[in-house]
Amino acid sequence: MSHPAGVARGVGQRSPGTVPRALYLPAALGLCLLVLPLAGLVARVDWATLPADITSPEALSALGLSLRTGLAATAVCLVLGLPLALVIARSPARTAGVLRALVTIPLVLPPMVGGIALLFLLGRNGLLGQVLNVWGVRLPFTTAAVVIAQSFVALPFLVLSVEGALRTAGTSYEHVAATLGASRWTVFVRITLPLVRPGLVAGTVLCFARALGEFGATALFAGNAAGTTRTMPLAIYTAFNGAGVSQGSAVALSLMLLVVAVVILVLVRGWQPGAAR
Amino acid sequence: MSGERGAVSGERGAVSGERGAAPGDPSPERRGAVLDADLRVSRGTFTARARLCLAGGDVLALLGPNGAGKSTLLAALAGLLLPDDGHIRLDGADLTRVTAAPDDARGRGPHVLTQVPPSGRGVGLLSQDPMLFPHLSALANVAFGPRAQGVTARTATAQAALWLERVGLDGLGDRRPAELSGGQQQRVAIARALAAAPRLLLLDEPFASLDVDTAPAVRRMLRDQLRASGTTAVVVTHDVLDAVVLADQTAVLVDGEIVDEGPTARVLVAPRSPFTASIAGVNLVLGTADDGALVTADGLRFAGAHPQGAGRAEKPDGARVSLPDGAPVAAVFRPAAVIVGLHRPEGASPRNVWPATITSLEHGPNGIRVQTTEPAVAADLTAGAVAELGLAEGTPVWLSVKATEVALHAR
Repeated sequence: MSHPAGVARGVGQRSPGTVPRALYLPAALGLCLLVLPLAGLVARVDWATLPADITSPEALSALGLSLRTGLAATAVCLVLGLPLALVIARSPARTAGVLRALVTIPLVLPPMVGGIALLFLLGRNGLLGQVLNVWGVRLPFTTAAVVIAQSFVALPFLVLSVEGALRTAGTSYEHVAATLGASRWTVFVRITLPLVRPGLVAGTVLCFARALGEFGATALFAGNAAGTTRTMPLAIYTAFNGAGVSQGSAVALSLMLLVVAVVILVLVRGWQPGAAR
Repeated sequence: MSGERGAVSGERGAVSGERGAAPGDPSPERRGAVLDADLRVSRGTFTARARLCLAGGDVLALLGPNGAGKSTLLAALAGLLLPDDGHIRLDGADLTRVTAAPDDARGRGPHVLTQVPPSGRGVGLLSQDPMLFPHLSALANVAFGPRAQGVTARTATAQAALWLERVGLDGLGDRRPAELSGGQQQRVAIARALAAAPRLLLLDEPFASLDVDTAPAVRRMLRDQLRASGTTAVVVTHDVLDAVVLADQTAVLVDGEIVDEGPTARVLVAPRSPFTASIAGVNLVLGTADDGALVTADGLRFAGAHPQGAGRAEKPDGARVSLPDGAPVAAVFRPAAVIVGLHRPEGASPRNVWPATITSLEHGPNGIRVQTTEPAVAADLTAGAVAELGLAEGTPVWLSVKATEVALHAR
């Protein structure tokens, strides 16, 4: 009896597989590499000044800007990325391969390079920027530029994870729905989307987290203006390197970003059905 | 079996005007559409050809071994696969109309005149995998078709509940597919397919994934619901039981060609192809008529009775009563009627006697089935008889069968 993908997950009573003992050591080292720096960060937190550091106008402004631009970028990625993922997943293998490679490039590119590229496309003398300039639209060094930079680096995460989920889900359920009389749009909304929901949720979370942490492309394309483009990562960088500013506030801001990330993860896990099982 | 549904072609086409009932409407007078399909479909290097004509409400079994092209034909009927040539019509309206590419247009596909997409054909598809939408309850699965066709949520839910009741799943509507047994899942799939009120329902090995204890009840339920809803249906299967229980008409597809077709009883009682004979559980020897008997290509002679028509088939087929010399003839007899001996039998009763060699011993319905050649004939023996005679592969034997046990049919 073959169950459709994802249905019987968590039901099987199979015993967990075995791991060669020798692999436990590198596994533990890997975990340390990921966790110890964060522990080091928390250890450096000056709890006495923490409340003042994180409620300072600069910190709150940076946090607010980060959340707003991060959410906006995630929305942009969903609106553009979901259709793109569907097109890639339903393309012939060759076309899909080319499209997937194109989507992956921003992922492997240093974000700084992305920022420069955006500047040359949308800057005042850029290919598109010149046209926009004629209409009086100037993107660089605005909050919109922050959203564009974040979308640029975050979009691949959403597209690739949703596209993978779409390919795993296959098209058989869609065929069945079509033979029951459902239009393409009905099939998309009532069958395709619900079937890839876990992938979509995971992709959205990754996408938001990436947007929230975006630094390089933002710094080059949007700049570092307090209140308009200074997001959390830029505020942390400024505090860390800034003349006369204590590193303590950088640590406090980092802790804030860490807490935000953990809260998102916890919320998503609790929200996903079956995650608690 | 309803005997009055005789002919394959659409003699009852007039009923088609009654359609228009709401999806899921249980009114028994609702009839499925008249199907008229003539197709050539390719998948890779394989090509299947078939002409299928069904009256409204008729059920056709498409029998054949694995790889005969049955599922390929179904995919074309459902609109999931484009034929190379031919047409599919329901109630006279084209769903698919394709003309083959001319030979000089190499590399170019066929010329598509009409290809209604799957969602607009009113052709339902039910496969051996129930394919229930895993994120929807059983009730929502069944209500999906009516909802997709514009029925209000309330009405669709009410219809779905009614269908669940009909397929024997009253009260299980809230369950997710993963919480149902295999048989229950297939019942939901049947309810979902019928609730969408298809003009034509395609069933692809619908019971193949059910265990032997579950399949008969689901098969019976499906027959009842097909009859009650008057749905025109094509059942693809390699199980002769599906044809016997469900189908008025049977067509046998071997290597992409229909080798035998007609009313189910006729096809099974008087098979015209070795495959049909093997699934019907009878021996079939092919040859030509000579002085009222059959003579094989090797010169073996089979005397037999000429049944009026075809045994239990309802309609006497006048053309097949007499066997003019040289006409192609089939001799049909049961494996249990074949007597196996080590020596040439002597006796007064008119018998067909021939020497043969045993090719294999298998488990039979009542003991051991002995396969022999030449011609390929099966004989059913008790295990004791096989041991007593010391039969094994390669043993030369004499076979005999009484003339009264042999039915001769024109092919």
